[in-house]
Amino acid sequence: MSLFDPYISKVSQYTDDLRRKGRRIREFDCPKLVNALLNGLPVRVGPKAGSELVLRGDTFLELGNPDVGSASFLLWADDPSLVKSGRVTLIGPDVPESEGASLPFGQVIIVAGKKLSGDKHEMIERTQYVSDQIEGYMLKSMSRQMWSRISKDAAGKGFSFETLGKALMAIFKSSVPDVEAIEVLFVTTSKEDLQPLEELGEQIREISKNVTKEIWKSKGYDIECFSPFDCNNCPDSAVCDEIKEMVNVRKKTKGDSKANKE
Amino acid sequence: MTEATTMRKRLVASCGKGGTGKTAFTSMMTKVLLDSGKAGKLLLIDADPAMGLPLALGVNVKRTMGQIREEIIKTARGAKEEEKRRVTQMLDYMTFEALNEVDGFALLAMGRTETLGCYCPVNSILKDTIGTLSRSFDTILIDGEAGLEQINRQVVGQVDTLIIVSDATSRGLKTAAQIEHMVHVEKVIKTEKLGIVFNRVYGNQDVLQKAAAEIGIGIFGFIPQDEKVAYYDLMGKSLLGLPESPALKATREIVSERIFPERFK
Repeated sequence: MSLFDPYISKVSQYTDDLRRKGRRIREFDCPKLVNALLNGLPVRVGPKAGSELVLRGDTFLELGNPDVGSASFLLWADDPSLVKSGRVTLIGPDVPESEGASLPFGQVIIVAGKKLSGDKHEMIERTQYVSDQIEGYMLKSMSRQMWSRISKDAAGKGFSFETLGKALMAIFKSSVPDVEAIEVLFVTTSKEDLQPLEELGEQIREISKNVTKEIWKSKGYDIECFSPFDCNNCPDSAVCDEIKEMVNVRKKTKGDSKANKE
Repeated sequence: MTEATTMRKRLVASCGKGGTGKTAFTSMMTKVLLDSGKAGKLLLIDADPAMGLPLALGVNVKRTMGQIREEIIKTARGAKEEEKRRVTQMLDYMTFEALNEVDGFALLAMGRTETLGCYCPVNSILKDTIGTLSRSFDTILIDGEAGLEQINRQVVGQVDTLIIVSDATSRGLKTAAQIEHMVHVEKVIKTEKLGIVFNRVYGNQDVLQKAAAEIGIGIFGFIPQDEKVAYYDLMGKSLLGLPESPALKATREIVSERIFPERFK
């Protein structure tokens, strides 16, 4: 039994509710192994496979623009039987039929593995922010929001939500090998349909925050100075120290060795 | 695709005394580049807190880097670990929100910073973020203010070309001389090419030439006083809609012969 178990059934209730309301729901069952997942994908997946920006002029479909709304969260469990392993569920329009659109975006990822526990929490959390690991897919994210774009190029090659689901599965399974089963839900119908997800997300973030808090307590950071000026006599040095910590955190989260170069 | 094409990346910054027409010049360069189809992926950065560039180009700015800076500083004050982590995650998202994408180009406004203090580390985060963002563009035009420090501290430490914009006044020339000193002696910013553009020129070219030679700075060109530009400025109309005019023609020559010669061969 793990912390998020009750929420896993709430997510399937949510899907059932929308099914009853007559929303179009498509389900795809994907292979379990990383190689099989990546095989036949129309785009490359892996570190830096995507570009940092997909500009508006190159965009086929935009998802979760702050003006139209987004909701996302991640759940994990230590009981793989709770997860419909390999399932991608799409509620709403798919990529090919949405040229030029800006759709709301809901994304729920559920992963499970017998060895998953609190100390893997952060790594699992972080893995959902794939940013530039999928060719033709740009993701900008905050804790509550996911804002992404699918390029014209990628759409032309056949990029769909099944592609995105498979790519996420492959990324999770290779970054966190203890993940045995994974299920992904996408919602692209309307802001109203995202509302229940936002509420669930809020509760999940509370739990997540507490888990994270415990872990960070046990960690300390290197404080590195970037300032060419004399900070000893600066009244603001305390604030700067805090920010330096953030820089380090950012570097760690992004694993970006290029950070802070001129 | 979204990666920069084979076009060689160019970073060009304009600076000079306030009121000399830097913003109008940057806007006209933008128009020339867009019209010629030689801009590639174009990013404009308004590093002047007065934020004239968005107005001159008819871009409606929703969020500035200055506001993001404020949010970072606010959150950093007595923040708990968890929140700090959140802010760093937010940074890319917020920067993308601050990127105003319109037809043909994207614009980033640095904006005003309300909080006093230097906060060098914040600048370094922002600079890093802008650097990352810049990688996706072929051409980056920066509209700065008189002092180069703003550009250096918050945007970038090195450019390919630095353009000093001056009007035909002794005050404009004095600022030009100071900038030249800042670049060559104090090394506030690194640049491969440095030159001056005389704006709103009304005769007296030989005097200006002599003055530039005294400062020891090359001339990129002269832009004549132009009623059409003045009218567009007055009416708050986007300079991208400027019809053919003497100022635009002069800008085209400067852009194609002096600033981006390799693209106009």
